[in-house]
Amino acid sequence: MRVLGLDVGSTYIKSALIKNGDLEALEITETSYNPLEKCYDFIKKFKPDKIIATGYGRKLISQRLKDLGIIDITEIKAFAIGTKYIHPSARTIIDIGGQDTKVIRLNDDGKILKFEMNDKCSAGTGRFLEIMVKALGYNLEKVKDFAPDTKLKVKINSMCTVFAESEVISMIAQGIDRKEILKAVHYSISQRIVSMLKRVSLEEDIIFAGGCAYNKLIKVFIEKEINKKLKIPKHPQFLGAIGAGLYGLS
Amino acid sequence: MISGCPFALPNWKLHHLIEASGAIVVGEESCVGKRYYYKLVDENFNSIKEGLVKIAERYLTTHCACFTPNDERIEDIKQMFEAQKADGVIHYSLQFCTPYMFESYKVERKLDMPYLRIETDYSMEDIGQLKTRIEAFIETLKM
Repeated sequence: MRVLGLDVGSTYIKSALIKNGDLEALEITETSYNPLEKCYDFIKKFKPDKIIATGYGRKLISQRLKDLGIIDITEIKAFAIGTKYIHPSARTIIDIGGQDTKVIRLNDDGKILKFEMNDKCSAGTGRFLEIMVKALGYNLEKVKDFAPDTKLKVKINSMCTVFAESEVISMIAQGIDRKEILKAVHYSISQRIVSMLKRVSLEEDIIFAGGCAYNKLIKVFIEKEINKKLKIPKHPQFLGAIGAGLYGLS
Repeated sequence: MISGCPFALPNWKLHHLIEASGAIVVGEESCVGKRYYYKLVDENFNSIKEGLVKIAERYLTTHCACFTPNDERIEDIKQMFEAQKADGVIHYSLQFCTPYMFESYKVERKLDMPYLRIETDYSMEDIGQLKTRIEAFIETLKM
C-alpha cells in the first residue's frame, strides 16, 4: 500500500511516501499562495492509495479534497509518530517551523506526555529569523552555515517581530557590525526555546527538528544554555510528513 | 472540563473549539461556572445587617485566583473532574488576567490528570494555533 503523508506548513509543504511500511520518497515545495494546487501536484505524482494531511493547512486539504478521503491529524501527533520511527530514543522534540515553535515530551513508547506551542505571534519562529536575516541583508540559506560563535556583544530585547526589526534597524544605525546583530537574533530565538524546554522536558535524547534545525547557531546557543547536546534526526524537516504517512498504515 | 477565567458572554470561543474538535465540555470550574451555584447564602437571619454579613461571607468562599493562597480551588478541580468523569482539564486564562496565569503553573504541578494550559484573549486571530493545540490534546487523551 502507498500512503502519502502531507505536512502543509506555513512556509513549505513536505511530503513523504510510505510504501509497504517503508519510507520511499521525500519531497518539499514552497507553500505559496496556492497550497491546494501544490498538494494536488504531489498526489498526481505519487498516486497514493491513502492520504493523511497534517500541519497548519491540514483542514484545507482534508475538506477541499474530500472526495479523496483525506484524513487529518495534528502536527504534534504526526511529529510523535515520525520521531518514533526515525529516532526512537528521543524523549524530547524541539520543532522550529515557519510559524510555530513547539516542544513535545514523549514517553518510552513514543506517546505524547506533554507539549507546548508558541502563541499566535511569530516571535521566535522561522519567520522571525527570515525577516531579521533579510533586514540585515543576509541570505537565509547562507546564514545556517555560519560558524557557531556564541560570544554576544549586543542583545535584542524585543520578542515581537515588528519591534525587534526596528531594534535591529536602530542597531544598524548605531554602526554595530551586522554579524553581531545576527548572533543576537539567533540568541533571542534560542532563549524562547530554552524557556519552553524548561517547562516541558529536558529528558534526553533531545532532538531538534523543523526547518530551523539546519541552523547551527541556534543549536549551539540552546546546547550552551541547557548544558545538553541536541541531536538532529535524519530528515529533520520531514518528521511530520513521515509521521502522517505512517499514521495512514494503522 | 475547563477551569480558569470567567467566560464573559457571548465568548464561547474555547467551548466551540473544544466541541468542534470532537470533545465535550462537561464542567466549568470558573466564576461563571460552578462557582456561581455551588454554595447558597445562608437564609437564616433576622435583620438586614445580619443578611448583608451572610452575603459578604458567601463572596469570600469563592475560590477565585484573586485570593491567595487558593488551595481550595485545586480540590474543586479534582472533585469536579471525578464527579463529571472528565478525561482532561483545559486551563483557560485570559491575557492580562495575571492571577489565573500565575495559578496555572501551581494547578499543573498539583494535578496528575491530563492538563493543557491555554492563554488567549477575545480576538479570533489565534483560532488556528488554538485548534492545533486543542486537537492535539484530545488526540493524546484518545491514545
